[in-house]
Order: sequence, then C-alpha cells, then structure tokens
Amino acid sequence: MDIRCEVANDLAFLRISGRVDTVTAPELEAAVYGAIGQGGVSVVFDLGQVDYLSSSAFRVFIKTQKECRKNDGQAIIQAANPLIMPLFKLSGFDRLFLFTDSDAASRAAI
Amino acid sequence: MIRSLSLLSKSLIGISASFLLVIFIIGLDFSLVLYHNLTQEYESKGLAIADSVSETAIGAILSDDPASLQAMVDSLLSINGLAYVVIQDSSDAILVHTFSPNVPAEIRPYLKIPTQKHTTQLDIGNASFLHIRVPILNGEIGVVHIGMDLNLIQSKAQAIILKDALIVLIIYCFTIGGLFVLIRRFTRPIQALTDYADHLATHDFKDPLADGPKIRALTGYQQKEIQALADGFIKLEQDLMANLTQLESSLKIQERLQSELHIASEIQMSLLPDQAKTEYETAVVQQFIRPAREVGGDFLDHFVVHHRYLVTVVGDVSGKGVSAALIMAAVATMIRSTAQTIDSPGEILTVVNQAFCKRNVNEMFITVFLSVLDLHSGELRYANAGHNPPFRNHAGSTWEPFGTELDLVMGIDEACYFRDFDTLLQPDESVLFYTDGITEEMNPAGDLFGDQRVLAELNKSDSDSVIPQLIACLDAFSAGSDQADDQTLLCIRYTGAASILQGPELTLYFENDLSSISKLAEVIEQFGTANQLPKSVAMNLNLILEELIANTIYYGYDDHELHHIFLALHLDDGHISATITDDGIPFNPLEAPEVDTDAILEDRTVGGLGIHFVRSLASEIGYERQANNNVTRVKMEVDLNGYSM
Amino acid sequence: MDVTAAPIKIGMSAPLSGPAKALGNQLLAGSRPVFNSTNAAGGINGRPIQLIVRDDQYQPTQTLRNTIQFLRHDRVDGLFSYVGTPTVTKILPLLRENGKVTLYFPFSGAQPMRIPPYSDNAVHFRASYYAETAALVRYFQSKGITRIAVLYQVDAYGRNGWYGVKLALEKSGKSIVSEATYRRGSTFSSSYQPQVQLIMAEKPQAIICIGTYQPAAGFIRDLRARGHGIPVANISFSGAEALIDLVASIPNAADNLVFSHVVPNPNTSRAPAAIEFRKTVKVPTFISFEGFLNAKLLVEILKSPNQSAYEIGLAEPVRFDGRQAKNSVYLSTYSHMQWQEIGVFK
Repeated sequence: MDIRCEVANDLAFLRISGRVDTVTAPELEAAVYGAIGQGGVSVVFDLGQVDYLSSSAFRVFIKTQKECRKNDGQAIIQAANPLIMPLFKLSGFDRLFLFTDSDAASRAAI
Repeated sequence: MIRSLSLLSKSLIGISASFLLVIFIIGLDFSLVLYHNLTQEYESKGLAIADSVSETAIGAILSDDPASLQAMVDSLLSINGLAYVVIQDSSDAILVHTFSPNVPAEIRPYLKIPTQKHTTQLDIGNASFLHIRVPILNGEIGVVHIGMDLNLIQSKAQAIILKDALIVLIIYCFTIGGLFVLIRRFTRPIQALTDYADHLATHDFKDPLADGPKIRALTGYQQKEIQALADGFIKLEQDLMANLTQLESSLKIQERLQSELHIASEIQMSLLPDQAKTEYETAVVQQFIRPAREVGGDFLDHFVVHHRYLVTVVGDVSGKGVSAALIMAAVATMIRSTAQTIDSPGEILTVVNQAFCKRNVNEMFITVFLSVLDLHSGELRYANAGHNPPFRNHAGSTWEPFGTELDLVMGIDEACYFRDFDTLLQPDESVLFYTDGITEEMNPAGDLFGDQRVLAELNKSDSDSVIPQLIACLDAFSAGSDQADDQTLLCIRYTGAASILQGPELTLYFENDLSSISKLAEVIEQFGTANQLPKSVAMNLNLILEELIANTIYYGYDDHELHHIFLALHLDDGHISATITDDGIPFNPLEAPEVDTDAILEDRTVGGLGIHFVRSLASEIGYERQANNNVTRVKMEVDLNGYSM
Repeated sequence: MDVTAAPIKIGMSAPLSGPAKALGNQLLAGSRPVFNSTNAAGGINGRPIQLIVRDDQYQPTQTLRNTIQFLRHDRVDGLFSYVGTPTVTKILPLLRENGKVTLYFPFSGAQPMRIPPYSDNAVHFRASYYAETAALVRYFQSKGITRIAVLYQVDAYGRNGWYGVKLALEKSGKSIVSEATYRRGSTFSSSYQPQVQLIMAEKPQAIICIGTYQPAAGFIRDLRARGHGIPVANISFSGAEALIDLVASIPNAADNLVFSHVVPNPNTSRAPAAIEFRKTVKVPTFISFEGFLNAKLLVEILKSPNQSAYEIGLAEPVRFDGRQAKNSVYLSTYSHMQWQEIGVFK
C-alpha cells in the first residue's frame, strides 16, 4: 500500500493505492492523523487505486469520520471501484459516508 | 609335541626334495652338455655340406643354369637334418631355394653375402634351425645358405634325457619308499600320540577321551622322549578341560552382549527415515542406504523444524559394524535434537562436535554434510564437516558439484568451528548428497566408480528417478565384486513455493504473526490465478480468511509462543471450502455478537465488523472444537461471472 | 612278315602311376602304335623295335634306377621320351659317363640337357621351356600385360621355367612381380591357398604356372575360388587336357586359361601326321600327339641317321640345329569349353 497526502484549504486528500488490510491499516491511520495535524478538517479517501479492503480499513474510516465530525468536517469516500463498493453496503457504511467520484465533486461537497 | 612329529615328516620331505634337486641339477647339466655336443657336431656336419654345395655350385652358376643347381640341391635334401638350401648369386638375387610356398620372411634378414662362413640360430615358425652361410669363391659369385633342423637333435637329446630321468625316478621312488617304511617303524608311538592330539582337538571335553588309557600306557615306554611326550599329553588334556569350561561361560556372555548391541543399533537405525521417497511441503526427498555389512557407518536423516525448515543430514562414521552404528545413531540423534533449537547448520555441527569429542574415546571420526532448506524461499544453508561435496542441478541443466567448502571432520578437534554457507535453490532444482561408498566402489578390475561416472550418469537421468538410475549404473559397474563400503544417497528436489498453489487443493499453514496476512494475500492471489477465479471472488475469499486468521492471531493466544494456523482450501464445482485449524483459545465465530449495521455513526464501534463480513460473504459457516483445536469451515459460492453474495 | 633279327631295344622311363601318371600314359598311348605299325611293316631294316617301359612315378631316384637297369641289364640301344626335368637331369651324368646311348626326345624342355656338358647325350624334338616361357611372356606383353607372377614346382623343372620367365621379362626390363612354389608330388586335393595369397599380394595381371596338371589345377581352383579371374598360363609339360578335366566341373575355373604347346593342336591340325594320329588314337591329346610324333621321328632317324631333314607329316620337315629340332611353340586359350588357337611362335 502507498499513501500520498495532499492538504489544501482544510481539505486533505489521501490518495491510496494497493491493499488496505490488517497489516497496512495502521499506516493509513497514521496518515489520517498526519493529515489532520497538517490542518485537514475534512479527509477524502481517494480509493481509485485500491483493490482490497479488510475490516481494519473500515475501522480507520469510521475513526476518521468521528474525528472529522468533531471539527465540523467530514470524511469522504472518493472513486471507490465496483469491486470494493459492495463492502460499504454490506457494512452499512454507505449511509455514514458521502461518496464522490472526483476531486471536484469532493471539493464541491464540503 | 605335535610340531615334533611334523618335523619328522618335514625332514623326510626335506631329504627327498634335496635329493630331487640334486638329480635335477645333474640332469640339467647333463642335458646341456649333451645338447651342446650334439649341436657342435651338427654344426660341423652342416658346414661340410655347405662347403660341398658351394664347390659344386660354381659350375652351374657360371653356366647360368639354375635348373641343374636346383637338381643338385634337391638331391642333397635327402641328407638327414638338412632342412633347406638357398643359393644367391653375387647380386644377392636368389637363384634357387627349396621352400614352398616361398622363402619365409624370417630368413630374409640373413640373405646377404658374408665375407666368411657364418652360423646362427634361426627360428622359423615353431621350428629352430642352424642357419649356415658359406660364400662361394669368397662371395665373388654368390652364397650358399643351408638350414640344419635343430628340432631333430633337440628331440634326440630329449629322448636320451627322458630315458635317464625315468631310471633315476624309479631309483628315487624305491629309496624314498624304503626310508618311509623305516621311519614309520620308529614313529609308531608318536603316531598314537598324533591320533590322540587329533581327538583332543575335536573333543567336546564333556567326558575324558577314549584313547586316554593307551597314552597312559606309553608313559612307561622305554624311550625317554616318548615318555615325556605322553606325560605332557595327559596334562594337556586335564588343563584343556578346565580352561574350556571357563571359556564356554565367557563366550555365552559375549554372545548375549553381541546380540543386544545388534538389537540396539537396529532400534537406533529405525529412528531414521526409511521411506524411499518423502514429500514435504515444497520439496521431495528421495533416499537410498545400503550397508556393506549388516550394520553400517553411513547415516542419513531428514526432518522439518518449525514447519518451515527441512533439515537433511548425510554422514559417514569411520569404520563399520556395531560400534560405528552406535556412534552414528548417537550423532544422528544429537543432530536431530540440536536442530530443534539452533537453526544455523554450522552451529549445529559445532555443538554436536563438542559433545561428540568429549566422549569420543575410540578416536573415531565422522564426516557430515548438514543442510537446512527454507521450504518457503528455497534458501539452502549448509555446513560441511569433511564430507564429499554434493551435486546440484537446476531442472534441464547439467549437474555440477557444489558445497565444496570443507571444514574439519567431526571428532578430531573439540574447538572446531563449522562455517555456514548458503545458496538459493530455484524451483525444480535438485541436490544429491552421497557418501564415499558410492564414488569409491570398485569393479573387479580395481577401477573406482568415481565422481565423473556419477556426474555422467546424473546428466543422463530423469530428475524423478536419479537414485534408482544411479544405483542401477553402480551395480552394473561393480557386478562381480563385493560391496566395499556403505552406500548412501539422498536427493532433495525443491519444487518451489508456487507448486503448492497449483490445482484446486491447497494446504498450508501460517504462523501467529502479522506477516502471515501478507503471505495469505500472495497465496490467495496465486490460488486465484491458478484456478482462474474472478477478481471479486478472490478478494472476498481473501477477506473472509484474513478476518478469521487475523482474529486468531490477535485474540487466539494468550502466550507469546509460536503457533501455527493451518489452512486447507478446496475448490470444486461452484464453491470454495476453506478449513482453518488453530490451537488458540476456543472461539466460535457463529456465536460472535452481530454488528448493528443500521446504527448511527456515534453508536458504531470498531469491533465485530470482520466477523460480520465473514458471515455476510460466506454461504455456510461451521465450527467445531476438536482436540484443543478450533476448526472453522467456511463455504463460499463462486459465481464465475462476477460478484458473489 | 617274319622278323627274326635282333631287336632294337629302346628304354622308356616314365610316370605310369602317381600324380604325373597321365603324362607317361599319354606319351605311351601316342608312341606305342607307331612302333607297332613299324614292326608290322618290317621294322627298321628287318630289325623290330622293342620298347621297354618302366614306371618311375616321376621320382628322380627311381628314374636313375630304371636307367641303370636299361643300361646294365637290358643293354638298350637308345632311350626314349623320358618324362620330366628332375628325372632327366638326374640321369644325365650317367648317360655322359656311358657315352654310347642317346636319349631321344625327352618330354622336358629343360635347359641342362640342352647345354654342355650333357648336350651330347640327348636329342630334342620339343621346343625348350625357355622358348615356351618366352612365347608366353611375348603373348602377354602384346596384350598389355606386364605384371606377371610365377607359380612353380620347387625342383629343377620349376626352376628352369621360372628362370625362363625371368630371362624373358629381363629382356624388356621387367621382373617377376611375385612367386610361389609347391612341392613335387602335390596333388589336386591339396590346398593352394598360401600360394594364392603370396602371388595375389602383388596384384599380378597374369600368372605363368610351371607345374604338372594336378597341382596346377588345384591352384587354379583356389585362385578362382577367391574371385581372381586373371589369365593363368601353363606350359606344355603340364598336360593341358588332364588339367582341364580336373577344373572343368568347377565354376569359372576353366576360363581364361592359356596353354603353350610344342606340337600343333591334334584335334584341329590339318597336317598329315595329325590326320593319321586322329585315326590311330582314340582320345587325341597334345601329349599323346607329341608321343606319336616322337615315335615317328625316332623311326625315321633309326631308318636313316644323320639326315638334314626328316619328313614326318608336319607342315614342314623337321630340321635340326645341332641336337635340337627347330621347332615352334603353339599358343592356345581355353575358355567356355573351347580351344582357340592364338598363334605359332618360332
């Protein structure tokens, strides 16, 4: 898994590629806290390059959402592909997150 | 006493032998003189004939009439002993000869005109001739060669000598016969003693001997020597009886010890693997061991430690028989137990060597090649205590020696440190270990089988039947001679980690460590590729297994020890079955509380989601607690067209 | 006619048994009728001719014994048609010592009886072996054959022929390429493989055989058996018909054979003597024809000695050069069961 973090105007983009599983999820969590530390109020998980998520990833997502809400921000799931999308539905997360398909849509959603 | 009797017959033999020798020498001298004289006489006769031929030939040669010359020469051939005549003219050309079908090659070197008369011995075929050359008119008009048949006088001399020899032999036989009768008369009592000694030798000494009284009678014999002998025999019999009783009991003890030792060594041998072929997770081991005597000094062993490392041992204890086998068994056991806690082959040998040296009172030594193969990566670490370097080949390429870095043999230096070396085996690569009983096997002509023959045979073999083919070749080579030394072969073929993922069946294990999650991802990816599973199916399978295995790793163990979590996968029509077996604390995923997916954000916890995924994605879940193991069975429908729910 | 005068005794020692018996018997078959008819016609000036024949089995010592008998016991007036070179060579010193008795027409072309010191004791009708071998060598050379080998009997006869070939070849600067011998008395059934090997080792183009019919036929048999088809020449002494009888039944053996003769072919010649001979003798052969001519010439000489020429019914009268009749060598070949005349060499 690779993570690139871009923070601009309260908005943090975490561009993730590869797998987020039990092993790599802690890295993602660290990246989230890093982004928030750099001034990110809202966090966008750009999952365009992600092809695998395990429950540990969802743990990070929910923690991030709770954290962002404290600052009146929110966590956004961007560009989840059809392979992983069903997992959001399965976990009921589809009702807890905003889903977008592009940077522009994410920015507009704030 | 027995020796003194044989002395008599020895002296008889000695006398007759020296008599025979003298006769032989005289006979030889006589025949040489006879032969010499006959030859001389023969030579002068030959010279006379040759002279007369050279005189009478002059006319015919000068009148250029070989026919007359031939007629004259032919008439001479009736002379007894004259075998052939050749006449050459002054230009060395043969004018006449008496040979058929032609002048033999043996004579050709002598067909030169000598300046004076010349005599030499000449062998033509089986016959010997006295070849005499006489120049005609000083060689001015030619030369006469005649051949006198030496076999004639040889057979004459032989006949005379044979006749004389026969007469002498008859005299000799009469003399020896007379001598024998005389000596027998003197030695009759000694003969009685001899018989007694013979009986003594074969007697079981349960009872006294039957001819004892006869010998006791001899103790009063008139000749003092015989008296003393008889006394000695009586005492010998008594002493022997006493000693034998003692000996018998000690023999019984020894016999019992021997058989016990034998049983012990057999038991210890039986601890070592005896299957011709053993399959490990990613490696196949084939082995062959054939002791030269009942119990041998060669040994081999192979076993897996930590579910991952295949340890192979090939060794050769100096010497053979029970003692070597005992040492071998002890060392093999030491290596086996040391390898459980130490993973460096060099260090294992170092530790075992120290222990062995301390008790090595017999000053035996051992050569060992110890290798440790990582079944996951193909890494082969090895250490070599003075053993023959093994051979390796990558599938399809030629065999070559490797592991030639030798350390000292074990049992010599307690402080010896054995080095580690390592190499990486590629999938399908094989390594063959052997002992010197293979390479030093001899054929009846005394040639060694040798490394080169081993290499040549290996390069001809299939990688699956390396050992049977090599043994067949070795047996053909050494047919007719006894096996000199123990013979041991051990071949590892590393099939490669990927090989286990081929096909619809997969069994493997994970350690209770997070690295297993990465390994799982790789395994499932390969399993998916190998079985052409849709991406979504592979992902869901991965997810289910990750959740279950991660759960076990995190919560299954309350110690900090190494544990193994076994996974068996089975793919058949339309569904995948997975069985996870772990020795963690009891955990039934079916009893885990359901996650409320409808809860609002503030109420959602971070736990339980994994089991929820498992329950949602699997079509069937079963759980059993079996012999302190959790056995979790998960079934997943496979919709080959895409996603499955 | 009543013949009462003392007979003219003529002695003849020849092989009538043994390996060369055909020679003696054929000579006798040709000559005896001539003497018989001469006697029937009144003999020589009223004296009948008495032919005394002794068998010598072609053994020189036996020939010598027979001759001593003829000279001492029979007190012959002449000797006639002895057979063979070693045999005749053996008695030459005896004739020289005797000095009175002449040997007429020995069946041998050998040289010793034609040169001093024995040339005075014999009169020859047949051409010498030198003449025969020279004719054969000339014939082969005319065919382009230069590599010539010799098989010969290792005795005075063979040596004489061998030397004849050697001399003839030396005239054109050549030599014998290979040679082999056999012992006198060898028979047809003996093996001649060693001789074939020795001779063929030098790859000759033709072989001249100085032998008698039995070993010569045996040699030809073994030569052909090894696949060598090269020409083999035999001189008159070999006994051409007897030789062919032996090899006729062997495949390929009776082909490419060359013979030299000292008389014309008795079967084809148109000379009056040949015509008369064919009427007289049942099985005409070269040797019996020679015996016939020998006898006719002897009769003529006895009738009128010391003439310059004698007419015996050949193409030309017989003239003498010293004690040797000036005679020809007749060459013929035998192939595919057929005789073919090649030519007459003077």
